[in-house]
Amino acid sequence: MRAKNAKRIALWAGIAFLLAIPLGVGLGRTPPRPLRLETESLTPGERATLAQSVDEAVYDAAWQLAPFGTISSLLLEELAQVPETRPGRRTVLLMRAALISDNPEGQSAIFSQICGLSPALCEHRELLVEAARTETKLRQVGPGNRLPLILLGEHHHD
Amino acid sequence: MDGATSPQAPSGTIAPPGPRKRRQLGLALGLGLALGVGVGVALSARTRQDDPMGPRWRIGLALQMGRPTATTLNLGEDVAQVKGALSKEKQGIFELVAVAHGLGSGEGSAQAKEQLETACRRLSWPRCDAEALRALTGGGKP
Repeated sequence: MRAKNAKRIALWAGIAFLLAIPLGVGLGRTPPRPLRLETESLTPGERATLAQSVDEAVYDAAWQLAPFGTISSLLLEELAQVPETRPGRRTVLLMRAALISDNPEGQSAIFSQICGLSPALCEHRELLVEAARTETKLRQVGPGNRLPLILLGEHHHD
Repeated sequence: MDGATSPQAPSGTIAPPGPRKRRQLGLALGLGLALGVGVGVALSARTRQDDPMGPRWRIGLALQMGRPTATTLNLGEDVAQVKGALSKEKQGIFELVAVAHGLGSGEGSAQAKEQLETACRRLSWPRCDAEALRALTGGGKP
C-alpha cells in the first residue's frame, strides 16, 4: 500500500516537473541584445572583419586628433597587427607614418615601402599625392596634417 | 456486511485522499513544479549564452551602420564590455569613438556634444574644439 502511494506521488511529481519545464523556459527568456541575430547569421570571415573594424575605428580616431606620441605608438601597434593580406590598410598606415615623420630620408624609405605594397599608387604620382592628401585632411592636428615637401616637389624618390 | 460503517468507497469510485495523502501529493506537485521551472530557466539561460566576441561584432556592425541608426540600438552593455577588454590607452579613445557614433545611448544631440567634448578632454589631446570633433562624427574638415 505504501509503495503504491509513493509511486503515485512520484508520478504526480514527474508530471508537474515536465509541465513546469516550458514554464521555466518562458520565464527565463529575455529579448536578445540588439544586433545579436544579425551578427550571428554572418560568416566567420564577416564577423572577423566586424571585430577588426572596432580596432580600426579606434586607430582612425587617434589619427584624427591624437598628438605625435600617441599616434606613433598606435601606428606601430596596428602595423604589427594588420596582416600582409590587407595591403590597402597597410598602405594607409605607412602613409600615416610617412606623414608624421620629420625626416625626409625616413619619409622616402616609407614611400618606397608603399610603392612595394601598392605599385598602382606609385605609377602615377598624382595618385600617391592624392592618397597622402586624404590622410592629411583627416588629421586635425600636427604633425601629419600637411603634405610633406617630398610630395610637394616635382620629383618623387622611390 | 454493513456498507455504512466501511471506510472503503464503493467499488468503481475513487476515494477522496485523506489529509495526509493530500499533503504528500501537494508537496510532490510543488517539488516537481519548482524543479521543472528551475530546469527550464537554466535551459533558457544556456540557449541565450553570448559568444565572447559577440559585443565586438555588434559594435563593429553598429559602427558600419553609423548615425542615426546606431543611436537607437541601445548598445550600452556591449560598449562597456568592449571597452573593458581594451588596453588602458585605447579605452579612452574607444569611449570617444562610441560617443561620436552615438553608441550606447540615445541621448539628444546637445547632450551628445557635451559628452564628446568631455571624452576628448579626458584624453588630454591638443584639440577638442567643436570643429575638430565634427571630423570624428563624420563632418570632416570644413
